[in-house]
Amino acid sequence: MRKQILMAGALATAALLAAVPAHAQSWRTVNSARQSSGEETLHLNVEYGAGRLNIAPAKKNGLLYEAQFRYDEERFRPVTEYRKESETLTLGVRSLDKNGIRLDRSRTEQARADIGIGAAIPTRLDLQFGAGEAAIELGGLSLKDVKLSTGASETRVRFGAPNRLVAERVKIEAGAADLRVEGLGNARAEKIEFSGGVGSTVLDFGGQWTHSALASVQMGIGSVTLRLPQNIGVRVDKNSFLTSFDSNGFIKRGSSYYTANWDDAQIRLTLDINAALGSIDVEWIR
Amino acid sequence: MLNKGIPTMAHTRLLIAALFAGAFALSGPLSAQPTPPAPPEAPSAPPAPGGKAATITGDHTVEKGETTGDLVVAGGDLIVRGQVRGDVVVVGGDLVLEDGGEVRGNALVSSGEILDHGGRIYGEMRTVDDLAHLAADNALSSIAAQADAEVARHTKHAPRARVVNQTGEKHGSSWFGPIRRGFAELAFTLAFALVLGGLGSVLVFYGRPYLDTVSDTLRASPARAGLVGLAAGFLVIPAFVVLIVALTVSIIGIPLLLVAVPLYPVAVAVACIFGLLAAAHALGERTAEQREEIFDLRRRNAYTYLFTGLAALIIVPLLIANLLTMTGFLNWVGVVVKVLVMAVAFAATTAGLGAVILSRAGTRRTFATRTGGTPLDPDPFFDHDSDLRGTHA
Repeated sequence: MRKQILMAGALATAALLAAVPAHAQSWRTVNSARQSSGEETLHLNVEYGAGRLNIAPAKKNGLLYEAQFRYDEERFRPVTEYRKESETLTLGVRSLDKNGIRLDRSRTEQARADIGIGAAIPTRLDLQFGAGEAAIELGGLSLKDVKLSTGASETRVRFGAPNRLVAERVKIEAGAADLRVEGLGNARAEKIEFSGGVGSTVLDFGGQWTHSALASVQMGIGSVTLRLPQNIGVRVDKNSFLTSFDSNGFIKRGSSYYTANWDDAQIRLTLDINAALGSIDVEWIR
Repeated sequence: MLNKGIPTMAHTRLLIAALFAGAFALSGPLSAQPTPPAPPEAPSAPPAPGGKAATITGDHTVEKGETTGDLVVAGGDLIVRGQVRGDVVVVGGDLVLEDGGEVRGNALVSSGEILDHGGRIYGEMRTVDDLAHLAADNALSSIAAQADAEVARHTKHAPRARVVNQTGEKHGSSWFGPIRRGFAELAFTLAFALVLGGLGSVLVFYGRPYLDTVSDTLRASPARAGLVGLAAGFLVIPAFVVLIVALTVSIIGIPLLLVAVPLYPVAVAVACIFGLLAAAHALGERTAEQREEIFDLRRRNAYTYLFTGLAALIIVPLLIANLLTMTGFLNWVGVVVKVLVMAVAFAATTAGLGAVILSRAGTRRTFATRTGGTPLDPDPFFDHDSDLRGTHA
């Protein structure tokens, strides 16, 4: 009798494991696009909480944007807001839960947003990305200003081709992120600002430099790898606490570090580095 | 029809979570109803002539020089050579913009494509994969609902679209929705019953004397157990903090933190579940005593008591609530029943926890003695423990 009872208990346990229903999910795919209508400056806000985010120039000419969202409609809704009078466009998905997005890998790994940005329209981009993976190609766009905030994510930002405009600023804020930014020279930015909390960051200043720029790097805890082109003059002003700095390739004058070509360089990059704990490595690129 | 207040799976899960947590609802807000953010602003478009959108079934062409207002095309392609001075919805077909064709508003296409051959759409171009997801956009919601109704009429089915209005409430769900939800909740309740039943069976099999002692304590001293359980509920977090501080301050105890920190919540959860099962056992035992004619000798055992108690306390009311949910129009009664079940289960878990504490997890019978004992004869098979004989069935 006891064996039967034990078996019944085991069966009940096995059954309950099989019977617990999965969370109801309704995955939807929405495509959205809008034609440009002579916008002078587009204020583009991209808000994406969790999932896979891809951003690139739009494939078709004449579009303000094109986007495809795949999302769980029980928890999110796509956002494609456009205000003509202020030329403001907001793209992304928003949580239906007032408490925000609960990170659940099983529920967010299918979530995806592919956004194409009209290349010809002068754009001020404000991108906020929460958690997940992001591949952001900003090369070839007409960017006047870029602000990118990313949370606990694995993010790749690339300027694969020169910006069509001179950008006033490229600002990147990273939380606990694994971040790689490539081709910052192509951003054609007058000012580059990076601030990171915790994590590993690679800042690649390669690309086609057209003018001198100021860059600031603020890092909390973690490692920063600076990939610097040899054909421009670089000066580093460093203010760090417990941070190692690889000064190979620099000449120290006073409290600053200079490349040998600094005095003769037509294009100069001035780097102001503030770091608390971690390491700053330098790699030279041709 | 608005479906405001329909109980969702979240209700059931919330309830179950609350049951497991018992008096120790350590988590934050219990109910988090989705409150969608402000709706997107409708893209500016000139007002369409006329109010309601023109609805057309099958292929349609807006010829060059022709001007029309909002347009809904179901089950066919829409070719625009002229001008649409409003929104366009195409369901089950393509929207083709020929050279010079214009849509001044938004365009929504379900199960089709937008093909631009030199025309222009001033608003948003949106394609969706499913009619049931016709529109989540305020700008298109009304016209989309009309399109859905048209398709439903054409295909002789009920409207399926779920259109989100400005406050994010879902309209137009079919009456299958409550049934589907009810079945999902039903499955969850049955799974929950299996979990509790499985845990209870293990407890009876391996630790029946302890379960009996806790159950007897609860029956003999219900008020005391309730008060102790309530006090424990209030003290569980402060005690945790004190424990951590004490171990930290003592230096030597720091390594013990690695064990204590994860173990404490587990111990609390186990005690709550133990308490709930003991309360169910006590209720089942009491029922057996009152229904002696039903509970014959073969059924007077801890398993029957436990399952009877669980069924009466939680499972059957939950199943009833699930069935009420399926009706749709009585779902509010289902919600009330669930709230009551939650309250009862909370009380049972609290009192059961108190009994667990009073009896030192069933190892002490100080508060378990009842005058008169049980009126039932012992079960000769299950009640073979001589030290417990005569104190319970």
